[in-house]
Amino acid sequence: MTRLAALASIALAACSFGANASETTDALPASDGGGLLDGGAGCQVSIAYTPTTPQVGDHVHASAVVSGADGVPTYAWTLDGSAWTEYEAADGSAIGFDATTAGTYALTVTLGDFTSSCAQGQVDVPVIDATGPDALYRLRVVTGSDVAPPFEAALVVHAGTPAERDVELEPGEPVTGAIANGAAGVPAYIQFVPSSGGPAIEAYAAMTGAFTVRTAIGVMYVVNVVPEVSGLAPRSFAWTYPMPASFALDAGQAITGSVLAPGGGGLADAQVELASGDLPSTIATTAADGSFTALATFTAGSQITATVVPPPTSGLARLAATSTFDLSTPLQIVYGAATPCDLGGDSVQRGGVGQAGAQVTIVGAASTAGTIGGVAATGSVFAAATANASGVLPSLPVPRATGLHAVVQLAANDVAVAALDTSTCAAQPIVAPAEVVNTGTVTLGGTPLANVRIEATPVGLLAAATLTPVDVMTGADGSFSIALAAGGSYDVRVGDPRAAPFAEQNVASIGSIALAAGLAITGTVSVDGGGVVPGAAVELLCASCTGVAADRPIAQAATDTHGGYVLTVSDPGSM
Amino acid sequence: MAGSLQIVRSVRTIAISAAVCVGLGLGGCFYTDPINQRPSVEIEQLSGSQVFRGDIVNLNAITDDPDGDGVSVSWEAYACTDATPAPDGSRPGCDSSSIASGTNALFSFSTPDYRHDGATPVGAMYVTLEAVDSLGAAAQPGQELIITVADAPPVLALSAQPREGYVVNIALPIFARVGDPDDPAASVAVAWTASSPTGSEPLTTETSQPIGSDTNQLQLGTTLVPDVVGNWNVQATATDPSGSAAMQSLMLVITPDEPPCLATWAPATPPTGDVLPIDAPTLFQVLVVDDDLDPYPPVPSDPVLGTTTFAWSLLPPGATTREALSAAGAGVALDPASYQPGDIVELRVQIYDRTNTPVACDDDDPTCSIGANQCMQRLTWRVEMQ
Repeated sequence: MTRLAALASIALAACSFGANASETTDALPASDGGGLLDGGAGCQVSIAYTPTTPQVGDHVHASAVVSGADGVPTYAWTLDGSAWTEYEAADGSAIGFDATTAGTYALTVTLGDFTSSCAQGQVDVPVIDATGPDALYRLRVVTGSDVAPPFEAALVVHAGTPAERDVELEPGEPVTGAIANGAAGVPAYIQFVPSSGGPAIEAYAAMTGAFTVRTAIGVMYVVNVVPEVSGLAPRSFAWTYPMPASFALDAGQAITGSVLAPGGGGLADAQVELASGDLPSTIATTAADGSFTALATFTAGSQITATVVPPPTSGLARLAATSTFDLSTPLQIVYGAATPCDLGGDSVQRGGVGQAGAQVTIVGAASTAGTIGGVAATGSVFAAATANASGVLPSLPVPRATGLHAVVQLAANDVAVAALDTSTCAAQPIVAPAEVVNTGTVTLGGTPLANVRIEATPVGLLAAATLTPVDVMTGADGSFSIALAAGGSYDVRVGDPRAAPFAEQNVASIGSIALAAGLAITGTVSVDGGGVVPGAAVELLCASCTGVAADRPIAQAATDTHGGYVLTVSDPGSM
Repeated sequence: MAGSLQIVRSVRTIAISAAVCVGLGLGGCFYTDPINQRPSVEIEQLSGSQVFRGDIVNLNAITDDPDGDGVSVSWEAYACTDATPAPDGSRPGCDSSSIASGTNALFSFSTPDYRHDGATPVGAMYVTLEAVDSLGAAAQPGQELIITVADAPPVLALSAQPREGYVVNIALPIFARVGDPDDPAASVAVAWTASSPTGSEPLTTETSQPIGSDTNQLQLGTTLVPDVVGNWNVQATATDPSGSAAMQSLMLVITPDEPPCLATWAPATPPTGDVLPIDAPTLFQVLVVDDDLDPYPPVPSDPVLGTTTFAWSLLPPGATTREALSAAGAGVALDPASYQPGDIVELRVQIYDRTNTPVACDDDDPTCSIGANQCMQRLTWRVEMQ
C-alpha cells in the first residue's frame, strides 16, 4: 500500500465541508505586517476587519482585539492618519468606513486610559488588491468527533495581508457500521478517505466488527479496511452517506511467489508486502524454501509496490520495486550476488574509548540489490545492533558497499553519524564524533525572545535511524544551547505565536535566529447550527509537503471560549 | 428642588394712557405725554436643572417692554455655600464679588469648585439679573435665581486582568479607573473589599498611576490572591472629599488548578488490544491540551499562563522497559523503515502542568487520568510497523 501514514493522520473532511468553493480557497484581506503587534508586558492589540476581502463600495467594519491589557481601555482610532469616530461599538472598540476607492486604508487604534505598555494596533486594509505574491497553506480544524468531522481548506495569504478567516464546520452525521467476514464480525482499522482529497477519518472496529464514525454529508469516500486478524485481505470500498456502512471482507486474492537469496537458494523469514495506492496486502513471511503467500484485493493492472525485508541475520539489503506486476503467476524475487560483511567485533569509539551499550544503526544504499518480478529493485540497508560493555559490536552482517553510514546513539540525546565503507569488509572502528553544541539567540525585531521552542528534526541519514526531534527552549535572554549530531542534518523549526514561523531545511547547525513579525490570521470556528466551538485545534499546514511534513503544523492554536483563534504566518512578501 | 428655576415676574406698572381732564374752574381739558412703563424680565435656564461643580450653566434673559423700548440687561453670578437670604436681605453665604457677569441676553458661566477663598466648596450659585429700558426705567424687582450646586460623585470602573479562568492561589491583578469631575482624582479615596465564600478581606491599593496626561483620572491596582475556590466578589468604593461615593463590584469564579487534559490528538489511538498499522513515517502529535494555567498550544499574551510539558516514551518491539525519548514537544514521528514489518511498538505521551503531578497509573495502562474522570494525562499508541 502506499503510505498508510497519510491515512493514519487524523482525518479531515473534504474542502466541501461547511464551505463553498469560494470559501475553501480563501483570498484573504490585506494590510501591512502590523496586524498583530506585541507591546510588551503581555499586552497585544490587533485589528480585525470584515469583509475579509473588501471591494470598492464595501463598508468595512474594524474592531480592536485586545489581550493582556491591564485596566479598562478606551480606544482612539485613525483612518489614513486622521482621527476617526464613526464608532460601531458602544465602547469605541470598533469603527466602520466606506471603501470608496481601491487602495490601502491605514487604520490605527491606540488604547488609552490605562497603564499597560500596549503598542498601537495598526492594519492596512487593502481594497481590491490581489496582485501581490501569495503563499498557499492548508487550514485544518479538528474538533471532537461529537462535534464535526475534521475540516481542511486551502488558504491563500497575500503579501502584507493579515486576514480574518472564519470557519463554519458542517456537523456531518454519526455513522454506525460493521466489518464482517460472512456472519462473523472482524476487528479492523478503518479509514474514510475523501475522494476529493484531504486526510482520512479514522475508526477502529471492535471484535464484533462494529464501529462508529462521524462523516460528512455529500462527500464520496474511499473506505480502506485493514483487518486485524489473519486470513483476510485488506479491501477498499466506495461509500457515501447515507449508504449502509457494512463492509464485507474475505481472503481476496492469494499472491504467491518466492524470495531467492544470493546463490539461488530460498530465503527464509523474509517479509514481503505489496501495496496498490493506499491499499496494502497482508504481510507474508517466507517459508524455509523462500516461498510466500500474501492476500490482497488489488485491481488488475494497477501499479503495485512490492517490498522485501530480509531477516536481520542475512546481511542483505531491503528491496523495493514498483510495477504492474502480473500477480496471476508466482512473483519471483531474486537477490543479486552479494557477500555480506559482518561488523561483529568492530569497536564503537569516541575519543579512542569504547562506548558501552552504544546503539548502532547501519543505513545507506546497497550497491547490489536484485529484481522483483523481473523489475530491477532498489536496495536499502538497515541493520542495527547494540555494543557490549566494551563497546564491541556483536555479529552485525551488512551488505558490502561504499557510502554506508553508522548512526550511533550513545544516549537518548547523544547521536552521531559516522561514515562506513564495508566494501572490503576490513575490520574498522566506528568512530562516533562528539556532538556539536550550537548556541545562539532568538530575537524578534532585535529583541531577545524568551521561552521559544526550537525543534530540530533529523532528516537524511540520521532520520533513517531516528525521527525523534531534539528541542530546546530559549532562556530569559533569548539564548539557547542545543547539541546536534556531528554529521547529521536537521529540519529546524520555530513556531511561536509572537512571530512568524521560522523553518530551515536540511541544516547541520543552528545559529542565532532572527524571527520576523508575522501576519495574523484570525477567525472564529463555529459549527452549523451549534454556535461557536471552543477548544478546537486550528492548524496551518504546508500545502505542498508530503509525509510527516504535511502533518507538522506551521502554526497552530486552540480556539478560545468564544471560538476565536489567532495564527501567525510569515509574510509571503518577505519569504 | 435643587437648582430649580426660580422666576420672579416684575410688577408691571399700570399703563395710564388717557386724556386727563382737570377741573380748573375754567372748564376744559389738556393732554399729557404717555407715562413710560417699566420693562419686564424673566430668567430662562437653558442648561439642565442638575448642576454639579464644574458644569457650565447657560441662562437666557427674556425681556419685554410695553412701550417697545429697547431693554438692556445686566447679569451677575455669585458663588455661595448657601444662597438663602438673611432677614435683612443680605446673603451671607455668598461671596461679595461675582465670579461672572454679562450684559447679553445669553449668559454662561462655569460653576466653580470652590468659593473665592479657594477652600470652601461651592454649594449654590446666586444669579441676579437687572433690566433697564432705554428711558431708564428698571424692571422691578430685579430677577434672582438660586441654583443649587451638587457635588459630583467619583467615577469608577473596575476590571480584572482578562483570562480564560481564575485559579485559586494564583495572583490576579485587579484594576480600577477612578476620577471625579469636581475633585482631584488624588483626593478620592478608594476602598477595596474581596468577599469569598468563607469571609471578606480588605485589599490594599498597590499602585496608583496617572493615565497619560489626564490628571483627572488615575488607574489604581491591587492584587487578589484567592485562597479558596468559589464565587468571589471584589468591591471597590470611591469616596470624594465631600462624601459622595461610587461603588462597583466584580464577580469572579475561582476554580481549583485542575490537571491538564488531553483534548485532541492524532492519529486516533487504538482501543485496548488493537493496533494502528503504519507503513510510512507518521507524526504522532497532541493538538490541544486543556488546562487552566498551562494549555497547549500556549497563549503567550498572558504572562501568568505557561504551557504543557510533554514526556514521550517508546516501548520497542519485544522490550519490557520503556525508553524515554528526548523530544519535549507536542509531536514525535515514527518511521516503520526503522523496524521489521510486523514489529509492534508502543509510543506513549504523558502531560504535566506546573504542578508536575505524577501520572500514577500502572505502566501497563494505555491511558491514565489523575482525577479518575474523562480528563486524561496519558495516551498510548500501539503501532504495528508494516
